[in-house]
Amino acid sequence: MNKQKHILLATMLTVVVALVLGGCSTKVANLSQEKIKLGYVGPLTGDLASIGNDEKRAIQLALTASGRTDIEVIFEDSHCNGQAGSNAAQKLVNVDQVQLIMGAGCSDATLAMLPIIQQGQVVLFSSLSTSPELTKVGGEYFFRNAPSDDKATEVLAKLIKNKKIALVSENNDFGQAFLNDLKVKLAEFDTTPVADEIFNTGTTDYKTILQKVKESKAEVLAVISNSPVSNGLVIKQAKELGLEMAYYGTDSIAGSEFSDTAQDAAEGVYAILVAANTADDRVNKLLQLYENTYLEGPASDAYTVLSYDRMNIVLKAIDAVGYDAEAIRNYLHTINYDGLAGYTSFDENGDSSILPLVLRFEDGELVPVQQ
Amino acid sequence: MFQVLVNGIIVGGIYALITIGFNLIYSAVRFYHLAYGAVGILGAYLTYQIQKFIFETQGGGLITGFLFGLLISSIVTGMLGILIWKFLYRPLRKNGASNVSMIVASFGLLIILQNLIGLIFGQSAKTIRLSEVTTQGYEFLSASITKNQILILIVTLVSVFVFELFLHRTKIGTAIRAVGQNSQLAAVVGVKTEKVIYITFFIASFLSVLASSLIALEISLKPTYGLMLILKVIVASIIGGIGSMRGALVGGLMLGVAENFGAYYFGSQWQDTVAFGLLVIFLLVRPQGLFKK
Amino acid sequence: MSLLQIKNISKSFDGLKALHNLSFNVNDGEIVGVIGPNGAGKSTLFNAIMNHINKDSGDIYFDGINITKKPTHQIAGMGIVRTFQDSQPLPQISVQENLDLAFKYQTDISLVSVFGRHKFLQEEQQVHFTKIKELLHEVGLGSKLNVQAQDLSYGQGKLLEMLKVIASDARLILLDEPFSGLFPEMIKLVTKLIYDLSASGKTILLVEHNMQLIEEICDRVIVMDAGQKIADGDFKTVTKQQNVIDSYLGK
Repeated sequence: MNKQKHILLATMLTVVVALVLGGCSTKVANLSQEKIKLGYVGPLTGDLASIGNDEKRAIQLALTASGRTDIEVIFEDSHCNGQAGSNAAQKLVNVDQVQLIMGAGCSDATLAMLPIIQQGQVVLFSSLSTSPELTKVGGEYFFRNAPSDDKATEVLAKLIKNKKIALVSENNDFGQAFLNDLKVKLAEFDTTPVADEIFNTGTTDYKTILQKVKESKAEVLAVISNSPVSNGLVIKQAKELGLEMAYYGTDSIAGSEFSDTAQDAAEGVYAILVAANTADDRVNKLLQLYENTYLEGPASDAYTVLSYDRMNIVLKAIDAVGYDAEAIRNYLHTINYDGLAGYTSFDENGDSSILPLVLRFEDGELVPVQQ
Repeated sequence: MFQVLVNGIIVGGIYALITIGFNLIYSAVRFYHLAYGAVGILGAYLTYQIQKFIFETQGGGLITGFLFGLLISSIVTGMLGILIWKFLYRPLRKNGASNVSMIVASFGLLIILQNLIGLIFGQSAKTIRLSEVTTQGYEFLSASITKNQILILIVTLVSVFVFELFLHRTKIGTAIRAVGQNSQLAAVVGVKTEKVIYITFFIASFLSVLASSLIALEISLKPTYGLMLILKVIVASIIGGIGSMRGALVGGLMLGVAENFGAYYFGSQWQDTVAFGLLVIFLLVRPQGLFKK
Repeated sequence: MSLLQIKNISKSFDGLKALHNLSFNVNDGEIVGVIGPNGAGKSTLFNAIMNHINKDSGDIYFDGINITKKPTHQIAGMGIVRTFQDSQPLPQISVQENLDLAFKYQTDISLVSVFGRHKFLQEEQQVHFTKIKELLHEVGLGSKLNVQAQDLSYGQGKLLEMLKVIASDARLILLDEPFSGLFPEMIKLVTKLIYDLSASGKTILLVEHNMQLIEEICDRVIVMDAGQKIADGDFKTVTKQQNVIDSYLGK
């Protein structure tokens, strides 16, 4: 027993020493180089990984273009869920001691991170989370340049009002918030959906839901989910069942997994989401730069642009008032930034002035539709 | 209404196809090889990879690539099945592990395999397809069913038929069941118990790849599908009778139909509740399932 | 050279010596009885020969070949077969399937049952198969081919075990209390089957408590007590030995 105890003690000692040394060396590096550390949390793997990676690359492009060598971004994976998101936030706030986090992507993750950044008094700036909840509970440290679904539901409700509508929504924070908000706005136009089906995350077989949709004789099917795969399966199975109607989806349609799963069934599907303004030369230049650097185009032009703007806004803030959460927060409320996504200013809830558009899948590409 | 029934049968066919191999292994070793779900999905990922390779770099057709991938992957995965028995289950058995321990070990392996798949292939969904175009299914009697779904049903029915014959009308099938009942007694009459178990694991794992690849055509591939499938398989095998081939068919179909009718009348969020409700009912009323081994 | 040679085998379970330096031989064509009080190690001896259990020390030779460490199914394949004390045909398969597995010419993994392809068997195998079928009828199991073994009566189960032994055509047969729990008519049947086996040149090692039957059937007996051999010879001589009497009276 003695020998085993010795070995155990020695191992524990080694581990402790390694941790301390490891921690020390980072701190030493900090002091000697004095780099400014920013955090990023986003869906680098999982359902929205294609967009998460766009965000990451956009940040890197913006940073390179700025020429700043004293800024470092620590990238963490949110796995598009609250648990991983809050773990990442914990680490960034408490271990890396950042003053600002760019993130998260999925609304579930962003919502989960709020208590941590509020307590840590760290700025959280999202370019992808659209849940209307964030407007209410975001708090004074939360900002986003992605438009709240509140605006998306407004646009959608105006589009499909007075028609026979079937709603198929995912049973999670995002899905239900969007669903309820949409129904409220539809009610203002005296429109009640003829079908209202809810599915659990990860469902793969939608045929029976679609059967009910068929029986309701709906003319429009709106799919509310933040999983591109689920979106894709619904549309694909709808086509296989021979359902003839107009399809609308939320911003997760931008994820490449949607078109991979739905294949040609994606043709003609409408999406309400922000879009890159290709009339703006700066936008085209950015997209070209992306393609040259990474040898492929972005999965989502729009979110690449938003994330790029975000990094630049942050850089501008740091330049103006230094790297301090309080100061940055106050500064952001005063700006009207001429970004590639448009003029960006923030209201008292942290929501920006950027609006979503109506897009349509044509020949495998999402293109804006004339209203 | 009829469409709901058809949906249930289609999904039930999928469940049944995976349950067949699961029951076959149970016949030989008398415990739940939970990792089976992940083994099949891993094989399907291999099929995907090979098809991709052939289609994108060798200029082969989608169907050729699929068949080729299926063949190679099935054989490789069949061998993997044997290795799992040889290096995980057999040593545990030899050291007197109880059936509960075997289940826990198998579950552990399932999780490890899933994480491995996620690491190697990534978390985003992979799609396997046989044609570049999605087509509307065939209409008959006001219900719609696609070519692939028909294929799955045919493969399921044929498999049930073939494997039932195999287990009950051939000498090797008798040997498999004998080994499952009492491997010592089987050895005493000269049955090569190890060889019999190897053969069982190979065949079952081979079949799992066929099943999973066909299923992937329907719902794409994600690393977590292994767990999802095996949970359904457990329910289906308990309903139908663990170890029985026709039990796999009936159990799978009943589960699929119950899920879909449940989704229709109660809403899709209750789908899993219906499935496990059915399981509980059967455990209470008829735990041995509908059919004997 | 003897057909079966047991050389100094020992086996302990948790410190309890089940077999202790046991040695004896069995010659081709003999019927040898193994007797002794309960716990003497008789069943353990059979388990040791078939290698269901590992031996701590010693060797076992069959026809000159060392079978001490060979896997059970291989030993069975070489021509040794055994029955179990509490009569165990494989329970959830039928009478026919049980016989199928035991049938001599099919110890390899094959697809078709012998009952299915008996028309295509070679002559020697045909003769053997026909004999089994006749015996099935003789012992009253002819109509029960598709009955599951666990649904047979106790006596019928033992008869099935004997038939499996015959079907295997093994050279050395280990019978573990083949008469226990049987009615007189069954005992007569089983005795006849044993005589038939011996007449066809088989070697038999028989564990039994019924002294009358042992005396009647066996050429020679071996007495075991506490894992050791305490006597070896013909029945009358051996049962007059003091140490044998002592062991049975529990001294």
